[in-house]
Amino acid sequence: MSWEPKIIAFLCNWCSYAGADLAGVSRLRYPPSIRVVRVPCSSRVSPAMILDALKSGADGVLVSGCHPGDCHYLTGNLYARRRFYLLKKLLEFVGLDPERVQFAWVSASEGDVFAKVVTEVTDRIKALGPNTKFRKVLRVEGKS
Amino acid sequence: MSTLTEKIREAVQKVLAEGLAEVVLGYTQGSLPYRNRVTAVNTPEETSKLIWPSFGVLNPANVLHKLKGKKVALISPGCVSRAVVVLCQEGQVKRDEVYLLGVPCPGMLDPSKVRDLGKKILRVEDDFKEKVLVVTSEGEKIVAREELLRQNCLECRHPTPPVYDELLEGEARKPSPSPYQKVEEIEAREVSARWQWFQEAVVSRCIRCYACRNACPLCYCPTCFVDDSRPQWVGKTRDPVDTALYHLVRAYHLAGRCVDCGSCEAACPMDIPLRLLTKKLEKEALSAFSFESGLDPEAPLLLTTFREEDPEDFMITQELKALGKI
Repeated sequence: MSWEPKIIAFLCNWCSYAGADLAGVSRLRYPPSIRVVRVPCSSRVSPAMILDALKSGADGVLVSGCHPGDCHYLTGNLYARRRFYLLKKLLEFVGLDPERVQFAWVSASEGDVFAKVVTEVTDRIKALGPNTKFRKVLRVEGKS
Repeated sequence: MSTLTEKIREAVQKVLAEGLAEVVLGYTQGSLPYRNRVTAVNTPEETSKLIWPSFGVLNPANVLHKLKGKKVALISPGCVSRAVVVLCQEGQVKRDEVYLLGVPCPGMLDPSKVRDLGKKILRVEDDFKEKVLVVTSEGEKIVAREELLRQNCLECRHPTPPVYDELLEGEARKPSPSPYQKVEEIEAREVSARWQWFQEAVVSRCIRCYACRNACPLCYCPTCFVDDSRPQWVGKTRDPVDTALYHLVRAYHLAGRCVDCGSCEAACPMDIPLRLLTKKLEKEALSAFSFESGLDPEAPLLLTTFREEDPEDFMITQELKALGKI
């Protein structure tokens, strides 16, 4: 059986979650790799949450929110964009595979975009293989 | 011409006499010739213990939260002044409750660089310009100041405090022309080499004593994320993943706030290059958002503001759009 990555998808309630719903209702095909966590806004997602997902065994993280200008809270996604930019640069800097953490804008009407984003993210993480760098496994002191 | 120490004592006596502040935070001689420590002075008699330090490696702004409600004056080189400005921006300190006694900073010396000059260091004489005389048990050495400076002073962009109530006379170091050279050296490496560097230089050395957090003037949360138990972001074991997570989030929490005072590195018992992580974020904030921390108490913080044209080409949807896939 081929390995299927586990990807935690933080989807904003107002756009991307509805976009994912539309992809489902439209019967679009995309890999069954994502585990959705619904959040009120993409700016609700803190870097600790993203890193915690990886630490707990996820192979990748996708954070998706409304397009700029469409935020239900007017500007939440614009704050989030700055934060994610810095987080991505920091992860790149320490050599944590940058492709494992992805950010996207998906509106409620873009079911097809959602399906394509998930397909693309899954392909890229498949190419990287399982997350072994940043996964916490129980170890006994002194043994590897 | 009087020395900086004399000027500071004179200015502090005036500050206390005129009631501009109840307490003055500055530096005094430590227990070893290459140690200086932070001290508080609240009577004119005590001002004689204040000095302008060669080794003022810890940031006195870190003590401010313990003195809430008091009017405090700080001996402020660039990084101390900027740390106070960030605290003002974040509503931790009121600008009119602090009195910044600005000092044009000639840069501080690195205790570990001086310590390595001999078996026993007996005396250090610093002219604050070019040369340092170090008397060791083996003899005297005269060393160029530039060779003994702390790394963050070598990379300092604001030796003269950008904000102050009173600025003492003196000659500051010139702002560094290449503040991000060390960061660029790491950036130039391959992904796997960078990960190896992170593991070797940061994660494997760390004993998670949290001295870097405690020394930081901007880490003031009453409950740090590492102490949260539900959710428990950072496990209590010495698992390398937990340590890595701690360092990433610690650096990230200082994004757009860190003033590069170097207290974290000075406090670290394991010589971890902690500043490289915060410096990287400082570099990104400057290049992508033209933002520098601690310059204006009225300005918004990096992450409490945005611009419509902020970069977004790092997002996968923009990447796919550019490729014509969506």
